[in-house]
Amino acid sequence: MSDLTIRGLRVRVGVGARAFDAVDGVDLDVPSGSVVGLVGESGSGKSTLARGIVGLVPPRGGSVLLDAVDHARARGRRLADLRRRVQLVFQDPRASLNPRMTVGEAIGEAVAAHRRGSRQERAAEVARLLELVAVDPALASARPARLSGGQRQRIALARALAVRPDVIVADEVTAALDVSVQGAVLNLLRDLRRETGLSLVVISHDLAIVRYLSDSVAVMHLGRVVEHGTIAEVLDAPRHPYTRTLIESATAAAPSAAVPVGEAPDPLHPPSGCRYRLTCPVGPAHDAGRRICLEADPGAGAAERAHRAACHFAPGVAGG
Amino acid sequence: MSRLRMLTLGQRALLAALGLFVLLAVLGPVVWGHRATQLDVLALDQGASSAHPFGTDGLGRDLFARTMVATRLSLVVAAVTTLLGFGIGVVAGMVPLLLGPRARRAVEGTIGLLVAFPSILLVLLVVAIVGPGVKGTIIALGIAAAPPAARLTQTLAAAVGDSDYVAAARLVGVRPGRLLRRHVLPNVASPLSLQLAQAMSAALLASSALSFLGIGVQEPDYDWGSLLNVGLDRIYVVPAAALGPAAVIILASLVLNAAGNALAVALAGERPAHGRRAAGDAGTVPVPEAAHAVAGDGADDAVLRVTDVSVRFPSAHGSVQPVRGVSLAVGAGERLGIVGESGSGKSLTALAVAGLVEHGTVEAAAIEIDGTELRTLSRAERDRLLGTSMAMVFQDPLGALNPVRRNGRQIVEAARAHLGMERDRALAGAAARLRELGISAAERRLTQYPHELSGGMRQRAVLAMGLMTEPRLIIADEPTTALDVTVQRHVLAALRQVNEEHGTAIVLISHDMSVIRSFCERVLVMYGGIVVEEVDADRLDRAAHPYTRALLAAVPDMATDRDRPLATIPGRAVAAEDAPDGCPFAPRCAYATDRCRAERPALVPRGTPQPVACWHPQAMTAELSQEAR
Repeated sequence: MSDLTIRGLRVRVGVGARAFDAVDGVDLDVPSGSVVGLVGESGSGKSTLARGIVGLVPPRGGSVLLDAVDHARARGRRLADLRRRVQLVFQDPRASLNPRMTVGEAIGEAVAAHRRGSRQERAAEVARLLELVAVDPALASARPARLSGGQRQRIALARALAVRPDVIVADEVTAALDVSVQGAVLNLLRDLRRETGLSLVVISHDLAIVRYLSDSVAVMHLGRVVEHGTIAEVLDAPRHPYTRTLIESATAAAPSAAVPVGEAPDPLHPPSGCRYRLTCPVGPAHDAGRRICLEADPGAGAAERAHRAACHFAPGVAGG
Repeated sequence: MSRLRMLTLGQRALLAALGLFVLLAVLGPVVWGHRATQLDVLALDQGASSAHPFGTDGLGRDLFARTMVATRLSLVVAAVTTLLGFGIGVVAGMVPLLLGPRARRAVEGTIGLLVAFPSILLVLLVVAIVGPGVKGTIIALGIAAAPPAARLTQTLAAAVGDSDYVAAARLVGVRPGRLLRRHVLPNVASPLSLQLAQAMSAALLASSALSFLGIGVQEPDYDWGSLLNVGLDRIYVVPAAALGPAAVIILASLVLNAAGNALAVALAGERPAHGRRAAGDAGTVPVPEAAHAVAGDGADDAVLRVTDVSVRFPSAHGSVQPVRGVSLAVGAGERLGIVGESGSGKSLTALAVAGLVEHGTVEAAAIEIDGTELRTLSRAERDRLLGTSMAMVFQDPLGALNPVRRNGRQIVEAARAHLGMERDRALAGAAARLRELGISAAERRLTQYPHELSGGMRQRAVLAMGLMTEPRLIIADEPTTALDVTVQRHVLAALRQVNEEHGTAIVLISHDMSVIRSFCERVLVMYGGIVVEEVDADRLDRAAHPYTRALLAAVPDMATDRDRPLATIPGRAVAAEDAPDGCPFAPRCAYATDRCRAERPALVPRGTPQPVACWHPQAMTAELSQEAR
């Protein structure tokens, strides 16, 4: 197993005048065997980051290091190696399984892509993988349409596991599932990590899911990681106001009075200085004296602050 | 051959006609071959007669026989031409998927250019180079058919290439050749095959046209087009000589086209219907009498009272009934939650109340708003009552707003139509509403268009629209599901404020138990089209129905024990047409007995403080938090 380290990753999306860096200089550490949660709202760049990490979209800058080997902008064999070792499981299993291939074909294809073997060996490996994700091996001959959403997501997981990856990036894997089967898929992820020693990057908009599965958490806002620390540290003592808002939204009942909101920032033209300042509850919108938020990017000194918080007014310093 | 059985009579007739043409192509030269070439100097240029239905040509050959014989060449030329064109087109259309972005754009651009090039010029050019005749016709028309086929393939393949399953296959290391063969080709094949029949029909017309012009099939070969050419010289003398081949050309091309569509229908029918079993008559199971008991506090001041409402849709197997006998009452100023998974019938129940169910039938013993039975009213009266006393907020605020009209106009519309409010006064009221709901610069927002607002603002604008008539009830169907968590809070706060300041009753429909729990006073839990439990929000942890308890335990919250697995519910959520005769949850329930599978439990108190539709209520045994976590 290996450590995944991401440094200054930038991924551009869109074309022409509407192109922008949906991931804009992200640092992320996924030590071997750990589970890192990535939480953020829609438009924060979580899914683009996931596609950048696995090499589905070429990054514009930065590095994706697997055991200190840089895979960013890899081609040919290096890209194939990165792709094998870092797998992505998609949000909607209805879209991520080919409707015209049986379960056995979809998983068997992944098995065959990296290992030679007889037909029997492949079938045995498919059966082993199906058992690993708690799906009846008899379903190997079924097509996805016959399966429930939860089963399909397990199949997608089994396909990712078939190439024996070091890291699995799980992008909102329960968001498209019915409530009653979400728990089972979350349990499966948790068990897989224990049984296989995999590293996991769990991406979700739901802080409770990230909290349940992860050892550490990175909070994303508008293409940047604004806070990164262990689950206990970040949830007990959040340093970034955005993290605090997320935690309040996940725990507290709705506020009793309507809360005025500022304009949400436009990703094409992000605000100067701090990108969160337009809606920040402690920023210049509420305290006009805090001019620094308009002028300086708080990401610059983040490494010195506790939890690498990208906020000029974050309490505490690194290690404190 | 079960696919064939699904076709209508007309579609079968078309396929039969197609078969007839194929048969004619095979047998035509065998049966009529001799007559078609037999010279008869005694019968030159004759008119139609019983011996020669289409007359004879200048050498006395029977034109009917020649038309029949020409079937083979005409159809073969059309088929080979089409296959050639599609062969080139499909390969050219798939190639871009394998290329880098720059080369891909070059190939796509070339295809676009060729599509734009007038195909008649292309055909004439190729015929001039290759020379007229069967070979020239096939090559020219095949090349002309390639660009549109390439464009179609490229469009279809690009969509498949962007799909998650192709991305996933790339990630696990599937090689490009296999990617095209196993993933792309099968998924573009069926739309392409539909196009094939149409293209063949077009090729038939085109090859006939070439022959008619004299630059297609040359003597001694002949097809329908060249027969038409011969016949046209004498059209005023012997109409049948021209009209016969013409009619055959038209008929063949129509049959090809229509049979292609019929095949398309047959192929579409092959697609699995999402694994649903035949419904049987599950939808017609009578609901036990006692299940009609009204879920609600029975207070006389109910703003909404619904008794035994059912919704039925026609389906391939008779009909399905996704809502089966739901009763509820909403007290004045109450915050009622309806929680359930997709397919539970929660949204349809709301739509049925508002008279918004399309393509289905709504049956109900009573639907009363403010004590007025809706169905005793005329349509105009009903619209007015619904328009003024009830407002609905849906999941997607963009769908509820007209994108080309200013927000202000839309927000005041109902108030002006139903209450006759003046424009200026209405707009001032709208601005006040928006401010109340926490929207800054309200006057400016009114002059903007919906796309200029953020998602949270849009949802509040829709809420403001509903509030303009000061309704006594708001039904909000997943109002925050499409919104981010931080924005979700704000919209819920706005709803809460409306409830507290105006005493407006609110029905909140959601799949999200945490939203329901934090917002509502009383909760109805729906599953498989029925209400399975009614419970106060602060008693949810002591819910009696196994489904309610499982639903609560299956989703982590910020207090869930990280060291223990989440509770799970085996199986999948029941689809309306699959709902069993007994308790809909029985197949997934750990406590289910034979009785549960045979007999549907009514929604009544069962030693529980509130009604529960379960033969084995769990409330007395243990608290959920101890049992499941």
